[in-house]
Amino acid sequence: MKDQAWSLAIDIGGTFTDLALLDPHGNVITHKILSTPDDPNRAVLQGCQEILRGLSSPSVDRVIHGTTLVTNAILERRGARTALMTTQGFRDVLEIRREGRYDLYDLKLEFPEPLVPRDRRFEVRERLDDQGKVLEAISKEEVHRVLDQLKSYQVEALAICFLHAYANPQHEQLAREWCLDHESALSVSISSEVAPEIREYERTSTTVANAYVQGVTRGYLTDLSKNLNSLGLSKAPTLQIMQSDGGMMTPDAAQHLPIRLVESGPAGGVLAAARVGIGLGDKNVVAFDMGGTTAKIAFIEDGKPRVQSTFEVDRQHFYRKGSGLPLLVPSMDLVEIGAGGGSLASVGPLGTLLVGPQSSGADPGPACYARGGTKPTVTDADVVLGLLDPEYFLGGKLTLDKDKAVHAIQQAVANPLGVSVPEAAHAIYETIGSHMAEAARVHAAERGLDLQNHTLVAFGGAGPVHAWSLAKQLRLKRVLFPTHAGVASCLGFLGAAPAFEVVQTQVVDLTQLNMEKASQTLSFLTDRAKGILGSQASRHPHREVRVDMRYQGQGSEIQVRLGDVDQLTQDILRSHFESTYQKLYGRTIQGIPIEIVTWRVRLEGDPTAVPPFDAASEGVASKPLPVLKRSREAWLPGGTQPEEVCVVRRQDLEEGTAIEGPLIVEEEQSTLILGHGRGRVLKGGALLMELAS
Amino acid sequence: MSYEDLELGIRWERLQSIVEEVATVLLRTSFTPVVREAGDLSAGLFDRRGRMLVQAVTGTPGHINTMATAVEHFAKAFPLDSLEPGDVLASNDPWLTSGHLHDITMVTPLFHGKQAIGWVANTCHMADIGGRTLGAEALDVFEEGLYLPIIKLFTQGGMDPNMQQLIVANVRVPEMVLGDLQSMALANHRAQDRLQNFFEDTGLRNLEALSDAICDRSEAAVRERIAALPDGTHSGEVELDGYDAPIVLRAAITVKGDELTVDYTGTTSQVPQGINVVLNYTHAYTTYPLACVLSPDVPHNAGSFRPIHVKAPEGCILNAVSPAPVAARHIVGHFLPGAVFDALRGFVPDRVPAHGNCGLWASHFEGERPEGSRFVFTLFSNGGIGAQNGVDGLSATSFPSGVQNVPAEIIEATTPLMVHQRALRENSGGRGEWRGGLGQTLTLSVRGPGAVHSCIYERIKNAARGAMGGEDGAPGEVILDDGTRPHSKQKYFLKGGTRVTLKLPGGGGYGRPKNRKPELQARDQQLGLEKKTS
Repeated sequence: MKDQAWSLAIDIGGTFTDLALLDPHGNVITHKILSTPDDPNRAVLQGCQEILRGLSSPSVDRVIHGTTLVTNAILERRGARTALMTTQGFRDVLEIRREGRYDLYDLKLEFPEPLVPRDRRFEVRERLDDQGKVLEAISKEEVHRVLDQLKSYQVEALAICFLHAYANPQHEQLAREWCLDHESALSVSISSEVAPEIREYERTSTTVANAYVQGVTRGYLTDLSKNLNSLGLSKAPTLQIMQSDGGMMTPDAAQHLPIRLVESGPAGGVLAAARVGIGLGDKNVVAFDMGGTTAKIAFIEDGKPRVQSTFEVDRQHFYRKGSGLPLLVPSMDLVEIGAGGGSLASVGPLGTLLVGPQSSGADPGPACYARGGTKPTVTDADVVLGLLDPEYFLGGKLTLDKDKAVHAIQQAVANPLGVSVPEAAHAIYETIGSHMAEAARVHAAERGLDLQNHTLVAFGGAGPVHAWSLAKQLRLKRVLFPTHAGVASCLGFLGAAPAFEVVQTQVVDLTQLNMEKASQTLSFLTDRAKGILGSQASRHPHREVRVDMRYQGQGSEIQVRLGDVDQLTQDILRSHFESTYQKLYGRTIQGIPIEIVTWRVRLEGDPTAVPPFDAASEGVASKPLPVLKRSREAWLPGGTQPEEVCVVRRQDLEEGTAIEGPLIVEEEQSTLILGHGRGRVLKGGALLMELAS
Repeated sequence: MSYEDLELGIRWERLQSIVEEVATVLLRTSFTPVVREAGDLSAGLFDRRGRMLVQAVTGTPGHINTMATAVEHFAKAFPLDSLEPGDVLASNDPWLTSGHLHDITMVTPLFHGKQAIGWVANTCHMADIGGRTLGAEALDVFEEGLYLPIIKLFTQGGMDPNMQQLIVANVRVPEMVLGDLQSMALANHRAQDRLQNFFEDTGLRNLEALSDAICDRSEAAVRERIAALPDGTHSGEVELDGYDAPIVLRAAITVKGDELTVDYTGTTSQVPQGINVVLNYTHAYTTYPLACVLSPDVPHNAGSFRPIHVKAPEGCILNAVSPAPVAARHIVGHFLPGAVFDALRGFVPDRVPAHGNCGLWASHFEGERPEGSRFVFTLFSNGGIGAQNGVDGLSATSFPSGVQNVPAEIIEATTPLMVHQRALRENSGGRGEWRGGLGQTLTLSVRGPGAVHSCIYERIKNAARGAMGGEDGAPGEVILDDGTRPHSKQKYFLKGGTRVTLKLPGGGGYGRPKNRKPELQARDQQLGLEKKTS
């Protein structure tokens, strides 16, 4: 039965809904249609019907789904009418934030509107201390008083966040019970379940966001199940939902903790890059995804994507930390850069060329789209440089107008700077590459990483066009161009495993740590994660324990990976902390006590299916390139002038074909720009290149 | 313009990212809370002539330009060509570097091959520098801690062992201070590595021509912005409570063609307590608000400072003469943007905010935990920012520094303090067409026997003034639950269980209150930010 199994991945993005169907033999069919933001399920249904059309009654046993639904509900403020119940004295935590500013020079700085306005934030008399001891008991009367006040606000959802509830959930649980006794229709989220971590602003923000999107998510998932059932499959498929950290969860868990879905799309791309790397035996990867407005870069160390424990949504300044709503949600650690095909080029006040972060967007788009855009973009530069063929953009679905690109660059860049159009275009190309390289370098420096031996894996429509330039600037030696790069997220979904992370803050001096209590905490967390994983975790899941630790007096913690520890001792904790600290900062400090702040347990099952790029890629490059009939003049990355470059179609390249750059490889979803270097086509069609030094 | 010039943007960005990386390394490794939490550090790159090309964009404006002038002094003491790879210079001379002994500036020569081609410098706030702990009580700078003239702290072989012993013997937390010094040297070394790649990739042999282009263009851009202002002189001032006597900061801005001069004549004289400001620091907090209003898009370098002149009479509180105590210079320095904004309003009435809280409120506690061990804790809090044309002031937000608060749960988990309330202070924003930011109300107590509470609070007697017909923000208050009001800049003993409430000042309003849009006023009333008026 097993080998009859088909898996279907569906990723809803801002512009496109992508689908990928994996058959029992490891073959992949992909499909891409426009998203339907007013009702995302419409595109899903249509996409499913289209991708399944023509297949004789396939039995799809599982559907893996990632969606921007939660993010969009927050960005567009389309969530439930939510109220907050909190400890007396703290209802303004959401507005006071951490009191900082994210831009020192902007006198008109803006912060996102809180999801719950001040008049719907209510205080109750109750108090715990940092150990969870009750200083003032909560009373039913207090909770009822708030419920009475709530009535006039027609509230649909309620977030409950009490001070120090991470240390003792009792008051929050009681308050929830008393609320539901009276208002059973209310959708209630409590902070001790959503994010039992210390720091009241971040925890409140997360709990409120969870309550805010719960109703929307529930409705959406119900519709989705109905739609899947209407496809006429032999039996209803198992639905798995993608989380921001690349683990899959059940629809039930997703309805309970919808905030975990907030950034699932990019997680898929990073997972795909990690798998490609593992398949190659190259466990250190720079995953690079470049689309229309944004480039995303993530680092994969030892086959594992880097995960961070917070995420910011609704940033007022897209690339500024601190300008959004913080969420305590495990998510992929990515750097986002305002660099995409649509990034606008202009001459700045200092007479230098500026490219991005402003983008032409989908409408009007680059000048060469001939949809009314007159400002030059990166895509216009790519066309002028001969890197893109105007007749073969998106496989010929859109013909680009090169004259309009030339004109736009002439007016806005070449003339003001007194240079030729190709020179201006080349500078635009190099500048956008430089932006991405610099952002990647600083991101790596913050994490104490050395990128030297990493392989760049390029995804996205614009990724393969700019990968070579980025790799050169970062001094990377290898670039890999996987197949199906346009639907990378979906491929990542197909290879994903069910996983869930749970946390618990317990602030304690390491030398005071009670080992028995620590083990109890770990088994409690493990059980909790198992419970949430539910039926997904049928086999023995792998457990990873991480601990947030710091030297006493420091303001932030570092995450120490313990793997799956059986026997916890103070020595193990100390030595892991010190080696992690050493790696990050180059030294440790003697004589200062070490503190444990938060425990994290992540359970991960086995991936069900293995997408094709997992195949090992041994073998030599023996086959010659197909006879090249076409060439065009193109100005390559790092070059000093345009040169004649051969052009091939990717579908003409077989496994084992030897490749020598410079070369342009065209495919429907993107164009691969290869500079000087050698490489070959791997099993499954991926192209691996070594850059000439 | 030639094709070469087209690459200026990329090269400039690369140099900028080199100093950002230096700053990032420091930020990650520092042991000093104010460095990590508020980015109280700086990094810059200099050419052979000692001109600053790029400076990292960090969290507080206090280092803008102080570093630019500092390197000239280092170059005088140790000429560039007399230095070798591995040499690192250091100093914390307040008058030569950034205004108090807690900031150490470290300067490293940069090489391309054997040729010295410039400098990289960084400044970091230290966890401790000996002397009295950071505060205003010292009577002269010698009481404030270890005073390092410009010295060669490292050579190829590492840190000078004599200097190391001297430093270890003078500070309370030698592990941390030595660690910080090591990472400062390491961070500078990172710049040398990155610069080597830069030279290989670009084929450049030195920074001089690039430096000319960067400085000249920045200078031209700033001159253009200044030239767009009408010629003339306008003045502004800020009145402060001061330590025990009021202080007036008076700024007169004169624009003549494409040059701008800020003159602080008429400002209060230097005082016996350590809240005096050296001219370097005055310069930093003067150019900062000017840049916010006139040229936020022009990076800081030697060129962008050329058209701006800052003068303060010797011996006034903004140009204190050695050996004046200067440790807590931020208490006065942070209010300079208010005076500069007031004066700028004469030139660009629509583009500057009303006065705000401006100063951080620093609450320092020292005492015993219930079980007997000692604890020391400093908490920073912020009031409201002034409103300006088109926007209400931000409530409870830092300005001009970027210092963040500490979460109540962290405070309670790591100290015997309890936080009973941290709320927006209703009705504290100055009314106006645009409302001033609200202050906050913070109520604290201490578990156990009690603690010494050192207050460093400003704007108790002098509210943040409104502008263009806007009303003043509410002044600050400090009250114990028995009704006593402690002195706003002194220590007192806070008994265990007694609650102290800090009411932080609100920002000034902008424009006449009667012009406020009714829907904005209704919203403020609905949200309880402002009282309903009859």
